[in-house]
Amino acid sequence: MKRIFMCVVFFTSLIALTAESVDKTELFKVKKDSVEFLNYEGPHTKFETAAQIRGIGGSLGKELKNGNEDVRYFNKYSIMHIIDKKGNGLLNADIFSIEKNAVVDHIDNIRRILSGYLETFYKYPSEDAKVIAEFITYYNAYYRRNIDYFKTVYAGKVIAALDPDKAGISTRYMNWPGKTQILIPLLPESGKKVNIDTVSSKEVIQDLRTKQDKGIEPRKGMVEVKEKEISAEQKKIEEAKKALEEEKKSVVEQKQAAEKAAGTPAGEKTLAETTRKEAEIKQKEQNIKARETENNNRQASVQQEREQIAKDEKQLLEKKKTTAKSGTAVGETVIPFLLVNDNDPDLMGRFVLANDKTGIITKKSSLNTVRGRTFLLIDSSLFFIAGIDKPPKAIRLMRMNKDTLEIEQEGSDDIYGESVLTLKNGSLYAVTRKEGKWYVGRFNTELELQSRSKTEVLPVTPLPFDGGKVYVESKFGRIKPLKDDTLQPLP
Amino acid sequence: MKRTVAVLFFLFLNVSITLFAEPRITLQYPTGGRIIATAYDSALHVLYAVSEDRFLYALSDSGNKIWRYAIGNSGTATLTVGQDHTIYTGTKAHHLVAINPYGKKIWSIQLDGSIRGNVVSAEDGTVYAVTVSGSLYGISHRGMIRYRISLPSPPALAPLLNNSFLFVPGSDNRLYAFDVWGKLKWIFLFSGRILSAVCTDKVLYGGTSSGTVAAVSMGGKKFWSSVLHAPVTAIILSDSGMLYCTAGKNLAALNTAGVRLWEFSGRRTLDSLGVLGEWIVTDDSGGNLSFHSFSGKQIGSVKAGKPSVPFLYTSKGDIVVGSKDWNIFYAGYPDTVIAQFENTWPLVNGRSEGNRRIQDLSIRPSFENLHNFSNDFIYLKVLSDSYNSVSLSHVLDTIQARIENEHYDSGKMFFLQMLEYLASDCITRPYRRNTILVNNFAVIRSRADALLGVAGDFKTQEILINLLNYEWDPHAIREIIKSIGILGYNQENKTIKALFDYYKATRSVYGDGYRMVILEAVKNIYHYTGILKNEGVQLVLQVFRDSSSKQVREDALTLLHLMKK
Repeated sequence: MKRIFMCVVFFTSLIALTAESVDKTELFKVKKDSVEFLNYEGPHTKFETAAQIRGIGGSLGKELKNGNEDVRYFNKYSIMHIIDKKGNGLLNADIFSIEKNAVVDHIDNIRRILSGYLETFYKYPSEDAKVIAEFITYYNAYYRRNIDYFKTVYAGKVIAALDPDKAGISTRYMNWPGKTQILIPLLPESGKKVNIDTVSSKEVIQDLRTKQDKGIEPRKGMVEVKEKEISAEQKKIEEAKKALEEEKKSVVEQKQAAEKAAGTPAGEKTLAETTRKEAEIKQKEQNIKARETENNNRQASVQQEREQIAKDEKQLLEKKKTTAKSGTAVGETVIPFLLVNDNDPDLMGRFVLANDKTGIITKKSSLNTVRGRTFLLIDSSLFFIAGIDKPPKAIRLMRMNKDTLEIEQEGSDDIYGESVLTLKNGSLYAVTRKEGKWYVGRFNTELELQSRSKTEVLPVTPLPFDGGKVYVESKFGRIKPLKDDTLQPLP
Repeated sequence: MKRTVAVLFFLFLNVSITLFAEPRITLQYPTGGRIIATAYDSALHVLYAVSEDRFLYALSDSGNKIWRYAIGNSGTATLTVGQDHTIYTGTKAHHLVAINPYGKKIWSIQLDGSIRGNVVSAEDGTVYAVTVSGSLYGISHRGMIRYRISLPSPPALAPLLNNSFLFVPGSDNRLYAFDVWGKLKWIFLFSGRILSAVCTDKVLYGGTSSGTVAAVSMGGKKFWSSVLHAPVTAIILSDSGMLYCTAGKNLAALNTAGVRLWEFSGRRTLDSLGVLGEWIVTDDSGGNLSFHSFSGKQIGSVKAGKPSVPFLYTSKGDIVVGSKDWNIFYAGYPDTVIAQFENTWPLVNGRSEGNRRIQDLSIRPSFENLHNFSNDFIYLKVLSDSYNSVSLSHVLDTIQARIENEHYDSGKMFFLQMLEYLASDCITRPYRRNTILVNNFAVIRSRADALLGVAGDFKTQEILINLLNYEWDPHAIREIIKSIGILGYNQENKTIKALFDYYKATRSVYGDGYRMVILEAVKNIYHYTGILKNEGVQLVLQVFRDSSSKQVREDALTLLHLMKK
């Protein structure tokens, strides 16, 4: 008990936060046209491993390899592999759709599916597939519903398969099921590889740079993927040059032989043949030169991006130093605070760390589905209720480290979203659900259920305590006392 | 009592004072790519790093960029600082590039393959490199290939150099010991592929993939071997004579008799290893820098980026990690005062890389002491003693042809000494017939002087400077000055001072042609070293003032302008 630092409720008036120091909108609103994704960050009833999620993409890829052009995964996801032979140099594409039955709610999982697909169908190494998948999502978010742009880039067959309302991906997870067609641009003609220059175009990179972290890490990854392609292409060009040299030598020899036999029918035939071959060789030389120029241009562009990344990273480091200096001076501390999104109909919030003197926010939690305005501070942990009551999402008791804002523990029992959360004698009390009915639950600090009332309660019941008893409002509107440890009715 | 207090106080001053804080990252320098090579010049306090963004960076101890050099092609993991602070680096197009400490390229040559590891720089300026194609190169500090040898096996590691031998660990588990003239002296077979090695003037220690460490004498005999049960990826020898090795996840300490004294097990495979002051520092594949006492106890650790190259130390006592995440991290204990930071750098590649004391460059041994490998050289040696200029010309023709041929020739170092001999001894060899001077071999001396500029090394520079005091033929003098310029070596500004002193003594004797040669020499030295101190500027100014030639004055002004930049 002595060790427990009791702090039952923080009211918003406790700390005077100036308008300048809190940019709350930044925390809850996604900028228009920005590639910052709003994901569901909260508890789930069902967990799938990263490998399982990648496996979804893998199975789609396998199906396509079997010769199908349009494949589905349990009416949740589908891919169309579109190659337009009359594309006139415009790009082919895969269209990955998130169907309305899909329950994916985090962009990382979409990336895992795409990554699994790219590994299986295009044989990308897993590290490269991860980077490309990430950029595919940025690209599709940037060009969301921009049919005019898509028409300038993609072949007719691809455009015909697009739904203007669904093209691309929204930056908000609630708008994904049934409203998403992710385009994966492929090389024109062959369609054998993803066109990574398209998904990492200047515009997409510029947009990434508007993020707080300037998208440094994915940009580095993309540079390395491009360098591999450029090296591989350079090797092929060198081999093609060598082969062409051999061909040239052989044509020269043939020509010399033909000239010696000039005047004879065989000689004339050979001469004509060598002339034709010489023209072919010239054409091949031009093609190789064009490839080399393109490759060199790509290399130059990669070099520029490297410079930019280094500059951006330096800027971020400088900013970090300045923030570290101004963030917390000697004698100042940071306190956890719950910022509620008053634009959200469910009034969900997220935790931040704020300087107790200046109110400047120094850190925010990734979890953004905290329910209500009540949380408990016990030792170095925050206890609260979070989530959405819609499977596979759930509402659960959560425990978070107050210094790092990292989730330490998630309860396994459903909790009522607007339940009271109380601490008494080292135990937490909240309204919990079993088989569709609501009861009072007593939990330890590991969020494990210790006891549950037999009495069904109104989910919005208050939980006042008095002398070893807790009073509840039953489902039928009666006030009942229960023993505070066993939660059983008093004899 | 007072004496005890004084002793204790003295001891206190002479130990490192650590404020018992946790080690931390003190600086982070982002580049445009993975770091693929690092090197440190402890005399100039400059860190050099090659990044995949195709730049070579020079950073100060405080992490500020001094300059960066565009390599132009992808760099390789080759980065060495030479005895004269020249920086050597490699490219994927198989070039070895020499850059002066001011970031300007001095020369670039093409080898027959990518360079394996670092090149090694000897005291006389010669650079030794091994390539993945299986060649050993001896290259002058001016970029002239002295020789190229086909190795019996492709190299597994960069070469090592001590006072007697040049060692090349082969990928066939053998260690090949050559003399510096490229002659194979002996071979030692290890029990596995050589992964790490360090040498002194008496012993070479090698760590292998089979988990053994072996000590080998300079005669190619095994002193001892010790089993560490995991591939030995790094090995260093501290000044106190202890061997520290990383083998898998373990850090082990052995004495020089091969007895294992202690072993520390970490959580991850260890990558690199070093000794800094009172700590042994290791770096693992996860980017954790761990600090251990000399008894093996872990004192602290800090996370730097995942390393892409072995770490280094700066003169400030910071540890520098080049990482895969495109950053250079400086890490260490904050506010550490090392009262006596002497040369505690481990002996790597047979050379201490701390504040080096460069030995006095002595003039070469006399002709009688020259080594002799074959009858080829006996006849040349005999001819070079001739008083017949035709014979001497023939000697020079032969030497020139063989020096300029990059293929291996066991006589190349011998020829250098012979040239020095001819350039100096012929001064004493005037040929008189009936008291009439017939030949004083000035032409021979001039040719020898010119060839010394092509083939010479640091020692040659001293000899040439010395020759200025004796040579009287104007043509030969010009060749000496030209060669001094071409060789470029200017340690402690001695060369420029010597040129300036010589010019002051002779400026009234010779004309503008001679002044042009002086300017050209100064320009070459500036190009090589990247800087000219006061005497250099004064020399150029004096030439400008003394000359009446428009061309000379223009050249002098151009040079001054260049130096000002």
